[in-house]
Order: sequence, then C-alpha cells, then structure tokens
Amino acid sequence: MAPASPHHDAAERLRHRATSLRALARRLNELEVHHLRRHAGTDTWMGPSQQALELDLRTRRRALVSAIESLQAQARRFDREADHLAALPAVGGVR
Amino acid sequence: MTYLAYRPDRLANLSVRMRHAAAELRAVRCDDPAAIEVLRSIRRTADDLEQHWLPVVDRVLRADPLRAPSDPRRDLAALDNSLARMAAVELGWAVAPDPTADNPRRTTAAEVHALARRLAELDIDGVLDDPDALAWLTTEAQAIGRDPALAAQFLDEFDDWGRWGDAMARRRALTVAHLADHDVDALDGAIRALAEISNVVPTPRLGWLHGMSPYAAAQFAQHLELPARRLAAVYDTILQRPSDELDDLRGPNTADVLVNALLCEPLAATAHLELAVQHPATFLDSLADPTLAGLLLRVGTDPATASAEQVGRILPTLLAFYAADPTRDPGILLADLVSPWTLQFSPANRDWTATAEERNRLIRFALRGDGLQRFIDNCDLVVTSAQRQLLAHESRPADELSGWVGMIGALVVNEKVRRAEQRRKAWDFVCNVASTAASFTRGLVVGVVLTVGITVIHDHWGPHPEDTEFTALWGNDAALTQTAALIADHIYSVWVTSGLLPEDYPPPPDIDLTAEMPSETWMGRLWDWLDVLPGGYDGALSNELRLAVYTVLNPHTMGDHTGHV
Repeated sequence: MAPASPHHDAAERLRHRATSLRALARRLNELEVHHLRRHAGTDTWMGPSQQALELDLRTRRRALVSAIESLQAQARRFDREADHLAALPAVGGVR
Repeated sequence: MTYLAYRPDRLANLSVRMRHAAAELRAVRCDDPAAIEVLRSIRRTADDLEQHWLPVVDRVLRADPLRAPSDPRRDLAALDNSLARMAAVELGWAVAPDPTADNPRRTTAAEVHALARRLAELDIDGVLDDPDALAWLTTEAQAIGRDPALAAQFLDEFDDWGRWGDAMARRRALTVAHLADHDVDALDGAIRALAEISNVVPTPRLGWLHGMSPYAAAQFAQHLELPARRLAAVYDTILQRPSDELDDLRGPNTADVLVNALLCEPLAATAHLELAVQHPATFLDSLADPTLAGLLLRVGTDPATASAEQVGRILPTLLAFYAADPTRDPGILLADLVSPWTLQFSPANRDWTATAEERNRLIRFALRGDGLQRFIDNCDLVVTSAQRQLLAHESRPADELSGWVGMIGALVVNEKVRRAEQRRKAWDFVCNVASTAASFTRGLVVGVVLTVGITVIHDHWGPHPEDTEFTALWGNDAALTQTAALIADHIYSVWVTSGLLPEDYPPPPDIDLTAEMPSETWMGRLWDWLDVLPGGYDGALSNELRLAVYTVLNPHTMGDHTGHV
C-alpha cells in the first residue's frame, strides 16, 4: 500500500473548510430575511416608517448577497489550494 | 402629527415574519474563521430587526386608539397627511401616529398620487394661510421636481393648476401692491417649486398654464426651462391673452414678469421678438414698466447672440411699425438698435429681404431727431459690430464695403449736424468706418474703396456752409488727413506683421489736431518718416505707402481740400 502524501491531511482540511463555507452560504441563501421586503411594502403600510424599513431591508439584503458570494469565492480558493497540495510528490516533506 | 396608514392583518404578519427572520439569523452558526466577518454582519441584522424595527411595528399595532384619528376626513386634513388620509378614507386602512416620522424620507409614487388628489379637494386658503403647510408643499414639490418619473406622474394626475395658480398669484399681487400682507417669498418659493416640476420632464405638456389667469401663468412660466423657441412661443401666447385685473395693480404685471425673465435668456429674447413684432402694439403697450421694451429689444437684437437673419425678421418690421405710427416716440432707442447692423442697411447688402430703398428709408427714420447724434456717439459700436461681421464673412465684395462707407457718410455728415464739434466727431466716425472697410479690402483696392467712399461723402455731404469757413474747411482737412493716417498705419502694420519692418520700428506720425492745417503738418512728418524707411524715400516701401496715401490726400491738391492754397 502506497504511503499517503504528506500533504494529504492539509488538503483534506482545506476541503473540509470549503464544504463548511458552502454550507453556510447555502444556509444564508435560504433565510427568511431575503423575503421580508415582500411583506413590508406599501400594500401593508404607508408612511415614513415604511419607507425607512424598506430602505434598510434593501441595504441589508444587498450586504447579505455580497457575503454569500464572498463565502463561495473563499470556498473555491480552498478547493483549488487543496488540489494543488494533493498533486505534490510524496518526497521531500514539508518543513 | 404625521400619521401612517396600515392594514392590521398584514402588519401583524410582517411582525411575525420579522421575528422568525431574526430567530433564523441568530441560529446561523459556523466555526470556520473565514466566516467571522459574515457572522458579525448577520448578528447586526438580527439586532436591527429585533431592537429597532420590531418595536416600531409593534408600537403601531398597539397604537393607542385615543391617539388615532377618529374621523380621518377631519383629523387628517393637514396636507402632509395626504397619503394616510387617502389610505384611510378610500381604502379603509387603519391609521396611527408614525413612530419614525422625523426620519429623512423620500417621496414615493403613492404619495404623489395622494398629494395630487388631495390638492384638488383642499381649501387653498387653508394651506396658504398655514406657513408650515405651504413650506411642506414647497419641499414636496421640490422633491417631485428632482425625479422625472414622479414629476411626470404629478403632471399627469394633478389637474387643478388653475385654482391653485390663481389663488397663489392673487395673494402675491395683492401683497406687492400693499393691499394684503402675505409672505411673498414663501409664495414665490411654492410657485417656483411647482413650476419647476415641468423642467425635468422631456417636452412637457404645458396646457396647465392655460387654466390660470395671464398674471398667474406668467408667475409660473418665468421658471420654465425650455428651448428658446418653445419658451418664446409660451410667453407670446400668454402675452396675447387679455390682461386681467391683477395687471392693473401696482407692481410688475404679466408682461413685466415675462420680459424680465427673457432678459436673462438672450436666445429666447430674440426668438420672442421674432414673434412679438408680428403684433408689436400688444407687446409694447402691455408693459407697466415701458423701459423694459427697450431693454428687451437691445438684448434680443444684440449681435453677440442674435444672427443677422433673425434680426432681419425683427428690426425692419419694428422700424416700419414705428414709422407708421407718429404718436409713438421711441427716442434714441432705434438709433441704438440699428447701430450694430449698419452693414445690413447698406445698399449692396443682401442679408435681409427688404429692398435697398426700404432699408435706406428705415435707417433714416431710425436716425431722425436725437437719433443721429446718438448714432454718432455709437461710433465704436458701429465699427466693432461691422468688424465682427466682416471677420466672419471675409468675402464681402468691395462694392458692398464702399457702399457701406458711403451710407455712413451720407447719414452722419449731413446738414443736421450743425455744431462744429459734432461735425468733427461725425468725420472721425466716417474715417473709422472707412479704415475698417480698408482693412478688409486687399492690397491697393484700399485706395479705390476709400476714394469712392470719401468722394461720395465729400461731394454730397461736405461741411455745412453755416459753419464758420475756417471750421468747415478745417474739418474737411482733418477728416481726409485722418483717413490718410489710418491708411498709412494699416500699411505699416502689414509690413511689421510680414517682417518687412522690425516689431520695434516707429510707426508713421499721428495727425496733429491742434495744427492749423492738419494735412500739411502730417504730410511733412510723413515725408520725414519715409526718408528713413529701409530703402529711403524713393525705395519700394515708401513708394507703396505714398501711392496709397495719395489716393486720399494728394499733396498736389491739398490746397483744394483745405482752401489754404
């Protein structure tokens, strides 16, 4: 049986982190807060408070979508790095 | 108090969903260090929902019924509650004090709709008597006027311009006439804000102006930003309507307001005059401040902004109107108006459609009485305006220029200029004009053109016999000498420019107007100057200059000109 690459563990850890970040991104994507604006519009109430809430929800949703994209990008970087480590030869070790 | 309107069932649903959303956000977990910042953001959103927005929504849902209006029609009468009132009255929604009414807000389509409806049913005096309500209306109109979509919606939905415009304008007019005491600045602010709503809409329909009295329409129209021709047409339409009683009050009337606005828009002023001269009496007689007519005519025919073609549609018609009505006395105005356009009045010019005879008749009419002296005083304006046009059209034929010189000479050196000092000034004027023509005529055609012009002037319009003999002869001599000096100076400038003389080479001598016989004195100095020219007195440069100068001032016949030989 061939010995495991000395980089195997590090690659596995990175893949685990990528999986974890993707799970978080999926979770964030399914939150109720994305849909709150639909229930906070002018068919529910009208006035200065309604306007302020609508503006606030729009801003926060934009921030949330940006966070999700950022998590997915980070997960892709971890996967790429893991692939790189896994491809390294078994000799030489890592200091 | 500012109210909001709501549907209790839907707002309760929103409250439940917000709680659920906050709970979901708090439940989000992730141990990876790369997610720390995202999780912080998630917590802040949860905090915001739980600590700010849920209390707001719950406060509305738990609103004290005693503080809610019992009769929305009565209790929500204030203009700033138009939206809540409409929702309560027309949709049957609940109403409660708005917990965040003081927050910055933006105007929405729903509010514009409610405002347009509310304005049409409101007691206008109630709003205009309430400074807060008027200020709110102004602010709201300004907000609408910053958003093309809202502005288009407001113009589409609001159809009570006539009632509002007339009421606001009436208060303004009465206050200006000291017959009432309203806040004119506040009224002006509201009028301007409402009028400017049309400025953000591409090609707005302006039918709303017709529903107002002319005075009110003018108050609004002065704030419109439209292409010059359209603005001119709008103003002309208003001015052609019969005046109303507000025009008779003290203070600027309809025409004054619009003309004052046009004075700031020269392009529109010109376009307006093109229309107004079709019915000049309407325009001239409707102004409470008659000085405005002169100002508008000067601005609208100013060559800085008006083209010769446009002024050709204004000036001849206007002059003919004045010529046909001897009861009108425009004073020196007409002399000022023709001064920048003398080229167009000259016999050989073809810029305008009027015949040479008609143009000659009109310019002589414009310069009758004190107009002639004013015209002579306008010498610089005449010359600089002609220079500008000549520079733009270098290919003016020589006969047009000589005709122009001759016309100016015939106009200004005539028997009506009796005082010797003024006659001298008139001759200076002709010399300046002749010099200008010469500078635009190539080579030695200069002399030919000048000779034509000067001969015409001299033969037909020489110094008046009633002047003292000496003064008359002296004026003749000085005029011709000055023309010769201008030619010499022109040729010298060409030599310097072309490098035939160094830049610091001394210029030809100036005319000495204190001399008893200026021609003799000047010619002597010129010969001294020619002696030391490169090439000497008999050189090529000297010969060229002498040939040109002698076409006007020939030393062998100088005695004929001056009477001293």
